[in-house]
Amino acid sequence: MMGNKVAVVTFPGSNCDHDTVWALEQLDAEVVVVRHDARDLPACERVVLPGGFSYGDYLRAGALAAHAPIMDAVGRAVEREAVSVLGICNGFQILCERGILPGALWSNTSGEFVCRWEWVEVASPPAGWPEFSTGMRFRLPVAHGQGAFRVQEDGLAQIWAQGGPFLRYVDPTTSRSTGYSPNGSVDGIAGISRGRVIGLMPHPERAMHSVFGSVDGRRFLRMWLGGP
Amino acid sequence: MTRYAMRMAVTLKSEVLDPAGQATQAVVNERGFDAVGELRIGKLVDFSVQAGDPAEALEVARRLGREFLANPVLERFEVWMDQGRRTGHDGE
Repeated sequence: MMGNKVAVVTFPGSNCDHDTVWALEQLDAEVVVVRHDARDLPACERVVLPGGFSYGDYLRAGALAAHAPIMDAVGRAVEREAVSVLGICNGFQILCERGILPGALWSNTSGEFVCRWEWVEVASPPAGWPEFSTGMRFRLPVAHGQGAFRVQEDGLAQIWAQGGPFLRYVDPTTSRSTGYSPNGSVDGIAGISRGRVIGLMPHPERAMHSVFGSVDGRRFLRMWLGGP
Repeated sequence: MTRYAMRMAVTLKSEVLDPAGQATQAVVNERGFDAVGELRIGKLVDFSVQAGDPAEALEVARRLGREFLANPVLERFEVWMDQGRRTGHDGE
């Protein structure tokens, strides 16, 4: 395992930051909380952009947080390949709005907020994380109104040409990940990766203990901490 | 330098789902506006740009649309000078 000092960023309207800090500390990570208006990251190997409703989802979900001062520092660190970044739910939306990950997350096709358990499956392990093997499944909660992953015209072909998306939803009726999603995501995409940056809509920090209904979030975060 | 009043319309691309527009249209139709269709909801953003001439102001506004106010995956934007609108004056 590489160094595991993790910076968790709090934006105005983040509401999963404390849960995320707690979850990472459960896994013996050294966690430091960083504010949205910090100009630099502390010395760390990892950054988590947690879930919530940064800036009240004004303009678009994640659009204003994507331009917060700390995101300039995150962007520079990503360019230097100096950190691994995990964006959870609103954090995923922020990474897409910033252009660090491709695509965008838009309103669920149902028009409804979805808050329920879903299975997701690894379609393509992120580079450097062989532990996330293809076909591995996690039962994790989703809770979002804008989780439909969309890409521009040739964006989907590019994602598949680069090995495929990281995570896809598993259809609860067929038990296959062939395009089902709770929100209208193209190709049933639940999470993507680029280099050492990962974004996903489900909340691993909410599945840390059997009393929560699943320990798969613990397994997920432990694997993430075990990677580059 | 002059302060130019600008107005930008940010609209969802035709293929992007508009739940707010769909819900509004459903209620509008139910309330007797049978003739109303294709209702789509976007955003109207008013702002001013301080610039040497209108072309420069428009260029700043277009860059704002491309880089910030519209997400090219989901949206399109149009921006124009809103000559009827008063803007604040600098230094007063």
